[in-house]
Amino acid sequence: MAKSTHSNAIVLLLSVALAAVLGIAGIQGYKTMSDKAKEQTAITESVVRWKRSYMALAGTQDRWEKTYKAASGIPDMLTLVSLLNLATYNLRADTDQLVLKSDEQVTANGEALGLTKLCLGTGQESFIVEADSYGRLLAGIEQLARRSDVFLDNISVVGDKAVPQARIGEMCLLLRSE
Amino acid sequence: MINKKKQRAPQWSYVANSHQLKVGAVRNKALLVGSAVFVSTRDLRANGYSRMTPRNGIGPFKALISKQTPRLFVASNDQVTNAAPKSTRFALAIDAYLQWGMRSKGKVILIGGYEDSNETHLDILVFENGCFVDYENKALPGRSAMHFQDAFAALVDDFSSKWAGFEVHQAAPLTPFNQAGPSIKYVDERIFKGLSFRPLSMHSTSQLRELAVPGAIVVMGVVFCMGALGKGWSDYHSANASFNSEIADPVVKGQGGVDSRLIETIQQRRFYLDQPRRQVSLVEKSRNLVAGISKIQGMRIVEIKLPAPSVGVIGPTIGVPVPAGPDASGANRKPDVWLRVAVPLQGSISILEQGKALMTLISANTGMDVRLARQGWTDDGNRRVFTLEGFIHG
Repeated sequence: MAKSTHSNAIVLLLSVALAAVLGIAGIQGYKTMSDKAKEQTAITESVVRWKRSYMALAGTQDRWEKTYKAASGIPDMLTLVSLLNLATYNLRADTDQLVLKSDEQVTANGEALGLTKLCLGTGQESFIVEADSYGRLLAGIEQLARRSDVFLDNISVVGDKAVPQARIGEMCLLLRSE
Repeated sequence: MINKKKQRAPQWSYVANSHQLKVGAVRNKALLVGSAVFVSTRDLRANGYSRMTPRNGIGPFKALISKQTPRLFVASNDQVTNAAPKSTRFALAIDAYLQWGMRSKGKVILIGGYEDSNETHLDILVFENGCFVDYENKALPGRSAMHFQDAFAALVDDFSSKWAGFEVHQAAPLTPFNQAGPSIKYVDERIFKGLSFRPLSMHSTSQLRELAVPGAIVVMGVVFCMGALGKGWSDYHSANASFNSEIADPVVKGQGGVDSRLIETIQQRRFYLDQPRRQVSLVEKSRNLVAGISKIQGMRIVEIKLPAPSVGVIGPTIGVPVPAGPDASGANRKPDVWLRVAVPLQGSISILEQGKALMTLISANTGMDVRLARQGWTDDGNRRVFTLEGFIHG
């Protein structure tokens, strides 16, 4: 009788031990999986955050794409000239002499914007535009200056020429690089 | 040979000796009673008996919490069981008595057993609050013997002194001891209904029952483990799934994945787009300037530069040096417009006076602050050329 009770107690103890091992294994397994799940959730949250920021900036992105034409859509000088569309502003330029003076990436606060600045010149130095009158010349330049994808600097209007003329030191087009 | 009461059809055979099995049992069910089973509260060995798993005298739950489990040791008579055809299945009457006792309440004595014409074999079990307390077996003469009554009366006396206050029950297959008076209650054959008949080799119900508690503990462990793992796995799975659904969003996919630099770039683009553009105001102002100047009689514009060339740059148009040196006129500010105008010579008025009058006029007509550049005048025979610097407000 004593022996049987003994072995019963051993069996009971063993079962408790086994259950405990199983329990601990279960908890360990759960912890491992749950840690992995938490990691994954953290990553997911960062994706969600990113998406939210992106969505918040989607308007900007939209504006960006509407403001600037894609550089990839400009295969040659002719297209560039037609994009400039000087005739609409009653301006003329000797486009046969057109040269690409420089080609640089625009940065802001050290961040490349993905914007290419293509600066043009007629002949060696400036980009020379002409119009029928000084009024028209200035009106045309103003319209050009209002274009977001046009960068103008160092404008010089010469007053005593037979044909009203302006030399634009920096006459650049801004195009999306990507 | 068999105590068939007023039952419609016997469900099993009561078997106390090998003869009863030679002919086979009813429905192959042999209910071992009497001397076919050796019962004791001690683990004794007896020749010709095969020990079976000890029976617990209390329920499995009570067994867990009680310090000592009361047990009943049982062994089957080989002579009897060997006589049985192979297909015979067995059950023990003592199991039914035990189960009945463990369901009883208060202090109870159950007298079971078996009788034939020669002998009355009694199994006496004592229970208290559903716990088995004691067992005794007694052999009395056959019911028809002269001294049966005396022996039985002596037995009852003996018990009532030893187990005072216990309620006495008597169970089938014994016939009721009517003579003993109303204090003995009778439990009929239905007590055996719950028994399951099994081949002798498989007669280890109680062994299974003994393993039930440890088994249940292990099963609980397994269930808990599986549950925990399952929960962990499903958590991980759902985390993965939500990640995949987020990453599959066309917004994310369209940008070639999550790129924190892209956000930064777009932010900078926004600043860039929102930046005021100086070129617009410059050109606007210069138009005003030209319009304002053209109202002034006799004045002609030689050249306008937007913005004014940086300090140190040589003005190329006419060949006159452009004012050089920082803070030429005492102001730190760089002029916005560089302007060269020509007016007819007016001999009577000094250059400075003429220039001053001009600047006042220009300023009034354009709303621009104007100053004369250093050495900003020259005569070329028939006209006087002034070089002016303008400051645009706002």
